[in-house]
Amino acid sequence: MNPKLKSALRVLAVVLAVHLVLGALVPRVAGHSLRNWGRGLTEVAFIVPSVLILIGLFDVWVPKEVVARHLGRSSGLRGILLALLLGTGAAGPIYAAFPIGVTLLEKGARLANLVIFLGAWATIKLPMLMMESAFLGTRFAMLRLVLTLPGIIACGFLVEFLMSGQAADPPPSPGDCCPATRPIPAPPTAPCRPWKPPETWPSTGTRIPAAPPARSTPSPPQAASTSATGKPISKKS
Amino acid sequence: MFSLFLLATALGGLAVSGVRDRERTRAALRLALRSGLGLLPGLLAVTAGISLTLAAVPPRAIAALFQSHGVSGFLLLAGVGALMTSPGPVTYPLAASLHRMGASLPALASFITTLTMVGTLTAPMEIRAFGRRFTLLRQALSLALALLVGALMGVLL
Repeated sequence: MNPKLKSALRVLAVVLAVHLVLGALVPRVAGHSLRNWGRGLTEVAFIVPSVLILIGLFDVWVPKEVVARHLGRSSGLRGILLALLLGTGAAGPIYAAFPIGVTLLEKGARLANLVIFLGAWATIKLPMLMMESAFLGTRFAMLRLVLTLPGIIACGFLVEFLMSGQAADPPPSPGDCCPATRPIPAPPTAPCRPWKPPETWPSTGTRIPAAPPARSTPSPPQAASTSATGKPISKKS
Repeated sequence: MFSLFLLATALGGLAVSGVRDRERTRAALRLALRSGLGLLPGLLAVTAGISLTLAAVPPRAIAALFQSHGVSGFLLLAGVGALMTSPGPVTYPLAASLHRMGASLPALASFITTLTMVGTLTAPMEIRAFGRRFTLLRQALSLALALLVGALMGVLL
């Protein structure tokens, strides 16, 4: 069985076991929690698949070069605005934004813009702003927006600055985090990672496998080797 | 409503992509499926953790805690917000009911900001995606930002 599916099932089993024990002790809380969980999962089921499909399409159709140009080192103010726009236009809790962020990074977005994107996604979405006004007053919502917006942008550049201090250090130990973090400490002299000549990428085989192992697999060395062979593609045809 | 719009966009994009290039569309779907499977354990665990916390700690108990004004109530709200992560549709009604029960608006501003931006429960997922150092930096700075926003709103409101 697929190892990821297996660990998902394991999580499911643990959660159900916890609720069984809880149900024996305090049935009311267990029931309430299960109902909450159902509601949360329904929300996730409505949002996440669409987001994943859009990410997949984005990954396949939008070349690295374009992302690097619009969100990369030299993107400037336009990049910040685009990151804000990308974040505010989407739906779902912040953990739905993580895989999108990974894709953006892999395609050459700069770190500051990633943080801005995540922050915008979290707190200043347009539909949420309307809801905030309805519940807590327009003055409250507007004031919070005006104060948060520059803060998020400042956070982005601070994180990038503080992370770049690590650029000289060797990449983090494998198993500590996924390969997706490796592009982060790129030296400032290289605005984006080496870009292969255009004739290589239309054949999907070379680039498709590069993305997915980065998101999930806990053991990067193995993941990298399987992706290099392009196994997922050849298996299909 | 918004999720329907999202679904329509995804399906529309898929259709256009399928007409333009079938092989590439198939690759996109494979990617979506694979990252979905990778996301599944984390999503299951996070939603379970949040719903359990919300069930075990009823809103009324939270409100009773936060009726204290001043710095302690302020920090308490920000701290609870930093621990949990909840989507907007859950956050705003909760904040409104806390306000009715006596929590101050500036404290709620930092509560909302930490609740949506900082999440100890979602940190493992973020670490897996972007690394530990990035996650710590981003969350620490966001927490500082949330406190600052709350304090400024206390002055301005």
